[in-house]
Amino acid sequence: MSSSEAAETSASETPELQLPDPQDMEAASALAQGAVAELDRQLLGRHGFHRLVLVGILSRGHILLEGVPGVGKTALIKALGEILGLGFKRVQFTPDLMPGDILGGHLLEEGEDGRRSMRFQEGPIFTQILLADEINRASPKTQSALLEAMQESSVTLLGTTRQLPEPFFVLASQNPIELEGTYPLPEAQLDRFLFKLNVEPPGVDVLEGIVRTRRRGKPPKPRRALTDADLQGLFDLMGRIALPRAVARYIARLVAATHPRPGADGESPGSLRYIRFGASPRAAIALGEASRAQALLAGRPTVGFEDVEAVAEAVLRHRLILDYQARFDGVTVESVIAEAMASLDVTELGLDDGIDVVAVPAR
Amino acid sequence: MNDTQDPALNHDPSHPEPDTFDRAMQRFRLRSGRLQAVRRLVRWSAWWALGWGSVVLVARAGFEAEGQILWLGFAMLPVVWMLAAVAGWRRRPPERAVRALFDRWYARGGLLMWAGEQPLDGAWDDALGTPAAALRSPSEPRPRWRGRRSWGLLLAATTFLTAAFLLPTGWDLEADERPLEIDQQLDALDERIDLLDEEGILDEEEAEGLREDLERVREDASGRDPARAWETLDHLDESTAWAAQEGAEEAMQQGQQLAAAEALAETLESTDAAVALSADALAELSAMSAEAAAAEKLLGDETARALAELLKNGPMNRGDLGRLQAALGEGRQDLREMMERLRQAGLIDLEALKMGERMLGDMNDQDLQEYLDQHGMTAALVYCERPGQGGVSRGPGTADLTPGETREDGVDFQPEVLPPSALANLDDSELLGVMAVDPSAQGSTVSTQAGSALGGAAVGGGSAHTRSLLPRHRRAVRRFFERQPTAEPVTAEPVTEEPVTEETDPRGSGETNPRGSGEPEPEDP
Repeated sequence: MSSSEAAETSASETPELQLPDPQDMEAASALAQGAVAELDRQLLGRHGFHRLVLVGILSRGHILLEGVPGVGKTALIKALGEILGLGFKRVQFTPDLMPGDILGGHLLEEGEDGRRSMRFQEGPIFTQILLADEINRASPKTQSALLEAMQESSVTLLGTTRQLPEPFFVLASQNPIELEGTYPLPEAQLDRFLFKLNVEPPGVDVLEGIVRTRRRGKPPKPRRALTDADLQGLFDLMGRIALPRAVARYIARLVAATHPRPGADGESPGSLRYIRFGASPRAAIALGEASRAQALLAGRPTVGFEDVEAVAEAVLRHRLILDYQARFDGVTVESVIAEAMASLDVTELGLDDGIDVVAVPAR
Repeated sequence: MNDTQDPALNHDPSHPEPDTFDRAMQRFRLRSGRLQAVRRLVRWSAWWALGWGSVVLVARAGFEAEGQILWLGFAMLPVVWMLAAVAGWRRRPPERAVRALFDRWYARGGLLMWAGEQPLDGAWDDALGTPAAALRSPSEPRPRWRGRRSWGLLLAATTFLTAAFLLPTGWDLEADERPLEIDQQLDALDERIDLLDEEGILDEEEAEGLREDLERVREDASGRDPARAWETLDHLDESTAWAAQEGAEEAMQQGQQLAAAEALAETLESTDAAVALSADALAELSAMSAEAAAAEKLLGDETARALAELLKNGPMNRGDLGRLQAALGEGRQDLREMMERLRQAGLIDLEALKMGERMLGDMNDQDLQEYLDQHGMTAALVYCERPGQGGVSRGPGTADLTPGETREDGVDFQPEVLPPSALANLDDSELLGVMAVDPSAQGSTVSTQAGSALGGAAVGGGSAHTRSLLPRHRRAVRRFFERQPTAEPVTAEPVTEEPVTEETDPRGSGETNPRGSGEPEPEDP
């Protein structure tokens, strides 16, 4: 059997999976919804955004938040740490920040017996939620210090690998303005973020509520919504959310659609021609995980197409590199993602031209 | 499988068993497969009709095919239908895709898809429910075919096939039998052949042969093979044009002979009566006239008859020259008119006509002399070259001045070559030596210009080599010449560089010219 045949065989086989009980699902969904509700109580008018943040957490992914100053990025992350009961540390990234300032370093100490030894002093990365504030202000050298931590949840210094606390999340923020003196994140590091979420300024009604209820902008004291056991239970449940083969194929086709092949006329269809680099296989993995978390939040044991569609933009937004022509033509990455999704026959029904599906009264 | 056999399609809403997702999906697949089959059947039938219609059309129009062979195509129709049905049925959506469609349609969140991969346990199976229970709105997905284009295509193809059967056989062959519209070209050619026959350019047999060819083309030309008819016409056209061209060239050649004979007759007639015409000259004129009149077919009947009358008695005498001249002139006129008729008939072009006009025109003295000289008519040539006679035409004589034969008062004028100039004589000089001396203002009467072309020019007389000494320079020049020498002069006597020339008498007499100039000595007459 060739390697490709073996891959096809393994792909056609569905691993045995015991779906969680409906009661467990309902409880887990309630817990997750409670955490979202608590986040909603902290920051007004951002339910969808909070839902995606929790999806990212349940997917054990790192999240990059982008927004102008003052929209509540830092407050959200701080509140999230308290709600989830996770350790939280914050690092303000600056151009002179060094990797050792994040990872830690070795100190020469003299013991009581007079002997000198090197002692490792942990850096702020040894926490569960690390807020990397304005991450794009640090030099690439410092940014790269996060690579191993984000992918392996470990830190290696002087040949010694130290495991980071579980779970470990990096929630980074960056400012889309004041770009002078900043270092755009390299693609390798961007790819390690599960989501890139744009934090939009709130609307008038939300602002009115903030002004009316928040003295000096202070949110109410967060209540811990999840215990460690609850969170671990949610993580365990995530492993039992089923991903049907049709949905997995849809995810694969969606990622493949971001690598458009020129047609007969040498042009890719529609705005997909603006894509310079498409999404990586890691994006497909991220889509699957995030879709599972989305299904969990919805209280379902299986992933549907709608779950993929709900997280696709957040997963793919920072993974598609558009060319300069897109900037000239005012094409956004969000519109390209929307076109890639619209170009797919979701169910792969494959009916001939002229045959479509219509709704008729049910029997 | 049809609806009566398929329990999924025979679902009765009043049946106590509720409709399940599996039944609904099976029903959808059946309908989809059936629609795909019908769609393919219609389109393939349309393509078959177009293809077979084309075959029938070609067979009937090109090969006049009739009968059962044309109906054999209908035997293929069931095969086409069967293939279309099988292909359409095989193209029905797979179960997994239908399940995905229903999952999405009924918002089952992947549960229905997962149920197709692994059996659901009781709790989730209950949660999956039934289509009726899952629906928010009482609708279900159903495939629908918008087949207007396919049916239109089938209708058009069927119409085409019917038309192919109804068209008459060989309709285009009848059209080919129609004669070509070439009467105008044939008439024009006929006229040209008549003209060439009348002018004597074509023999009777040749003209008759061309007319027969022309008549054959008139009878055979039809639309079946038009190229052949046009090629024959082109050939006849080229033949007549070629004959006309040859006739024109012959006419020009004959006209030139006529013109020469006419010019010679005029010359001889204008000869002074006191000078007797030699019999040889008259014989040459007779021979020339006879040669010019030899191609009598190109000349008019009267002209030919007149020339024959004049020439039948052998060499003519002086009294016949006037009549001969008139007959030859009429002959030339006949040829001119013939060429004009050829041009009007389009057999020769204007350029050929102009060339003919030139060759049929009057011949001048020089051309006549060249003609006679080329043809060895020396006796006649004498009369043309007689000096003082004004040549072959009116006016003063064109004889050359020949001083050597002219004698006036017993004195002969001898041609004499003038001696070369003094400057040119330097080429014959020999350099004996060169000495360096100081120039002296006096003591030398030899000019540096001696022996040159300006040797005779007086100083200050306007010679280009003369330089005037300006007053302000005179003192400096004087000081130069009056300076005291610092040493013994090399030579007591200043010697001027003077090339010694020895002139030779250009007449070869060997006498030396003591003056050294190129001026020839006067010679007594």
